[in-house]
Amino acid sequence: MEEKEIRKIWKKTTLGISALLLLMMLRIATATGTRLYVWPQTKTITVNLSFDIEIRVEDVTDLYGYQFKLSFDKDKLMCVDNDIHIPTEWTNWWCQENEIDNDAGTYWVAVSALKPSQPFSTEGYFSLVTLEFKALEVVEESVLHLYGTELVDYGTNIMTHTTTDGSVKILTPSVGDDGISEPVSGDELRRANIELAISVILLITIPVGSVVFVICRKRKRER
Amino acid sequence: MQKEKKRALISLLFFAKQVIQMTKKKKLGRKKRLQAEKMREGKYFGIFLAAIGVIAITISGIFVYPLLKPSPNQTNKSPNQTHQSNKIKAVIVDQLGYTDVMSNKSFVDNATEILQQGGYEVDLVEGKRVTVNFYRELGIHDYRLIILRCHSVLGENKTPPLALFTSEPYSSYRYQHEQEDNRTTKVWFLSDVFQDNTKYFGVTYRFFNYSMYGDFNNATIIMMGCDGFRYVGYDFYGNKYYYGDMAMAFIERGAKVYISWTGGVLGSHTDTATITLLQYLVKERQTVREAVVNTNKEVYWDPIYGSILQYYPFDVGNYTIPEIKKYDPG
Repeated sequence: MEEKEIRKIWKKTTLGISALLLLMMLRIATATGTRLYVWPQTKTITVNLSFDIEIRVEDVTDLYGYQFKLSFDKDKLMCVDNDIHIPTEWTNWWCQENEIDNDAGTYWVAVSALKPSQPFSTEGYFSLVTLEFKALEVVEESVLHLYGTELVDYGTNIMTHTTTDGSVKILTPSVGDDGISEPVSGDELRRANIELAISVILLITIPVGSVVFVICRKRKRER
Repeated sequence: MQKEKKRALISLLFFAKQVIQMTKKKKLGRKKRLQAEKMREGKYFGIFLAAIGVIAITISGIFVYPLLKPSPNQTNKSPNQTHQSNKIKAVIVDQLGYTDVMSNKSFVDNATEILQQGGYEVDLVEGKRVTVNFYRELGIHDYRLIILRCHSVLGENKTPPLALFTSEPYSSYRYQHEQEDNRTTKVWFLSDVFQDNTKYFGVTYRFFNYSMYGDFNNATIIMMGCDGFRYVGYDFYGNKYYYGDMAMAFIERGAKVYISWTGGVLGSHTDTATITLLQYLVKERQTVREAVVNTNKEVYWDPIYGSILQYYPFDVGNYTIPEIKKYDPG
């Protein structure tokens, strides 16, 4: 009886371990597939400052066109600039969409290579777009969500891929680290004093002197 | 003989009269007369211009002197000096409230509530009221607890002295004596974070040493700005401790304890930490050491700059701020 139970437990344990291994292998397989993601995955910034994020594609074969949309919290972030990077293999290309909509909090881009461009492949990563955002308000976490993503190959087949969103943490600024203190030299102060005295003297003498000059000329003419 | 003499004298007088008359009657030519007139006019004009110059200099002096008037030197007493109030007072100096980005009403409300429940009468000095002259008179109000919620900045390459921001725009013509003596400096923000390019006056430890009226009368100072302790030292037993020019100046001017940060700190972090610290100090009546250590344990170090709270001098760790009345949670 005891032996049977032990066997049962052993069977279950073996099955569990196998399932776990299978899951891990699947996960590794997915992780090594084509991926479209926001980089850096989390960005920490202080309010009112601008920062860049990139939308990267990783481990891709025969890429011949792409499109994606990125949504962001329009109250916390403002997209101020974008820069599309074209692979060198794409000697001829067409950008169908490249639109920042800060009212809706979205960015939409669609680019495709045209003949005679060669398809683009990389085992590493390639930055498709750089987006510059300005942090508007303090927030613990604001998600940069990738959606409507499409990667197409030379035969206009849609490529399977995974996407990874990014997030931004916006902090209050430091209480002094962004500032500087500068001692003022005596020479600088003396120069300022002289400048002030000269300007006051000129302010008085020029109008009065002009009046006197005009009067003298008038008297001379009369004589 | 006498007649002859008389005649000679008369003829001499007559000759003299003739000469005088001749010189008197000698008429100048038209050209020379015009020249003389011109000269006379030129002389008057010169005198007139000189007079204007003198007036101009006098008036400019009247304008310029008040700007350049030397500021009071080291003065421990002032005509307004008061240490007479029966109420125990605390002050929140909220210079950070000057900018929208750093304004935090809930901090001010929470801190005021904790202090009031601990029996303090709380003064709030906000924004534009935080001037050089406000710091000059900080020692005359008999505050027993001073919370300095202000920007504090170091020099280029993070060199001392540390300067506390005022909200008073910088001018070359004000506090010249103190500027020349490095008691006040020119401070400003380097980045666009505050969207403010204005230069302000900053006050250094020398200002508290030599320009402040009164003294701190055993007050507890909480300096919420960056780099309140910039230097690291070791005591006789080899214990590491933090100190700084500002900390020493406050202690030299009569403060009991000075609590601040060992480096840069975020606005949100210093607000959270100070509320926690006040709860430990006022509400739970912990010693300075306990309160600082427990605050550091609770809020951790600053998430960006890694700084922690410290106190100075090292030997007041067992000090507990005076109990004004039993803490009343309302």
